[in-house]
Amino acid sequence: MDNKKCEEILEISHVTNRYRDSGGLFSKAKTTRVLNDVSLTIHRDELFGLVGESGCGKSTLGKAVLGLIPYEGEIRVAGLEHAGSSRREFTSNVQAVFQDPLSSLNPRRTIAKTLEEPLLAHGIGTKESRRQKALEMLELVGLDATYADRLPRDLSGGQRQRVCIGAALMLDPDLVIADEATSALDVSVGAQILNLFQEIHERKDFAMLFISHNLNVVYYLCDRIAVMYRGSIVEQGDAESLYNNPRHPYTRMLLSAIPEIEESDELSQYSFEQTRREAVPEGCDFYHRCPYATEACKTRPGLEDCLDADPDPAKEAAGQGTAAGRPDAGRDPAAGGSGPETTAAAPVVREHLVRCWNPVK
Amino acid sequence: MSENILEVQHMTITLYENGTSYKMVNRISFTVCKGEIVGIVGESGCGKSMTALALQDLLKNHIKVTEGSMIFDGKDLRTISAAERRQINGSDMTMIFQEPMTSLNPLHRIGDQVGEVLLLHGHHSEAEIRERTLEALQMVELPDPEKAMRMYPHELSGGMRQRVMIAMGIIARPKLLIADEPTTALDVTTQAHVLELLKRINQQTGTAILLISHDLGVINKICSRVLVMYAGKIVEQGRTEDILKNPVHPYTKGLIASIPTRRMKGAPLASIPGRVPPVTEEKPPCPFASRCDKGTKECFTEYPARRTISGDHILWCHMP
Repeated sequence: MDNKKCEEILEISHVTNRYRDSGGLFSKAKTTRVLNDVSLTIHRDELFGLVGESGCGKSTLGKAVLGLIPYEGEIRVAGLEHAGSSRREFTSNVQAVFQDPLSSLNPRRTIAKTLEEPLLAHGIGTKESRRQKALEMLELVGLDATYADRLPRDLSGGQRQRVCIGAALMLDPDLVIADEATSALDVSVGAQILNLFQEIHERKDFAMLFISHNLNVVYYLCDRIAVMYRGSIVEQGDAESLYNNPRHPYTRMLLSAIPEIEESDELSQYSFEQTRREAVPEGCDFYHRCPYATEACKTRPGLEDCLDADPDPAKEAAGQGTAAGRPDAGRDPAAGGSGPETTAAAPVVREHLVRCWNPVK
Repeated sequence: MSENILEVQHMTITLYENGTSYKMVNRISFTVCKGEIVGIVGESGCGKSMTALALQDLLKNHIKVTEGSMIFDGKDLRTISAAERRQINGSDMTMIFQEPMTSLNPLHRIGDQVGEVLLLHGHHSEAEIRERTLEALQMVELPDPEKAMRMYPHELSGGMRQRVMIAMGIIARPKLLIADEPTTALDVTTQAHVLELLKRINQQTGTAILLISHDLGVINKICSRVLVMYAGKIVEQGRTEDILKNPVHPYTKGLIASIPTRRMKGAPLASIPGRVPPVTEEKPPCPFASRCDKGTKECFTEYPARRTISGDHILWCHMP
């Protein structure tokens, strides 16, 4: 890769995760698919957002990337695969920030010790240099040295989250996964954390997978966005294009559900009801909630086949004048042959993909 | 519409700890009209939930209402007997909480839990209770209410459970429903649905709602008026539209500016520096003075007077 910007930090290809419920006294054993052939790529220095409702599998994907759960398919972080590399080597490349900072921090350990921990685990530096690095990190996340010897309980929620972010960055990872990192915080504190992410991102070199259920927050922070529904990515594209021109009905629904301070209302079209997967086993997963569903959506196989049935997304991206780049490598098996693979000069991938038979115009 | 169902005058809530007393809520006054939806907004720790708990007489033993009056439907809740108050709570004035799972008994069926409200508040026959339970569950749009009545809380999703909570809140046809962060634990889509539901209930039954939230977006969806609270004080209040379009208090402005909206992309969010001071901390007369970028000497020495901006729009701030 000649262009540093284009280097792939995270490559997820055809990842599927399923768990088997062995069944209890009254229920039969069954297999549930949580992730359904997910493929996406995050490039160096990119802020990538993943949105969806709870239970759609977005956190599961985060866990799979961290190597915390088994999966089928391939996940590479900075070229390394879980299987082929040691846990230690791997974790220095990918770190995480979770929703509830209090439960992520050891209540008996001082802030400085928490920050030194990753260095210690990887055997980096001397005692003094580790302390020094911890103090520098405190500075970077907007706290000062007086916090070093305090305990998590002495800090407010926002300050704790700053410590968690600091701890995640101690090893200079290539990829940071932020799973609902601002959801448990007050709006004003959440805003401080979002600002902090942006500030740090300008000063340090890392890519981020930012997982959230709020499309507004994701749009605010991220360069590219993927929308997940029931374990599949249903729409993916450049933040501007996806947010201002959402094509998948589900993305539209997520957008319209956000309570805005400026009025914009198309709520009534949507049924916010969750239905069971069994509802249309043959058809599109979103069928029961989709206001634009047609008869065809009921019987055509699930979302995974829908992408290349609609030739528009490619045209769309070009038509938007957003420098249609190369198609995301490994994004979709069926669409693999659809584009010339060699515009590597394009700085950022900007195509907009929709998995729907009947995307909104 | 103009008659008040709730009138709170100079209410002060005091916390007693280690022989010292701290004011958690400091002389707040507000009203809720019959059939109105009023919102209280503010960061965590600013006293919104305490206000709600005080109305429901749910404060812990070391926290007490020490000043002022709470007149609900013509009766001062502070002077009536405990028995009278129990009659009001749960029937005329009900409350729903943030986390539905902790408010529901995991060992009882939904139908029994919802119907229990009527059992405790009057002499209804079994058949009548059943009928009204079914009606309440229908009203909150639980799919297949007959079946839901026989289910246990763990069989329902978070949004469904919150709807069951709302059903419990409205089954006695209350005059005032207090909803304390009812959608905070829910998804955006479920939240939208629950908010629509609250609005519809308000329109159909005329139940007034006091909605507590830290999200101005949520408030904007259903509330006609909003009170902005900070560190135990109301700092600004008025019609939701006026507050959002024309906020005057620096705290309100900060709250609005910290919400990421489509126009904010690329620019840093104007977050409010610092944090809500803990109750135990000594506060200047204007509680926001220490975080305010426009603060003057006056803010640290004098209480800001009540000022009317226009009509219902009222402000407590020294700044012009």
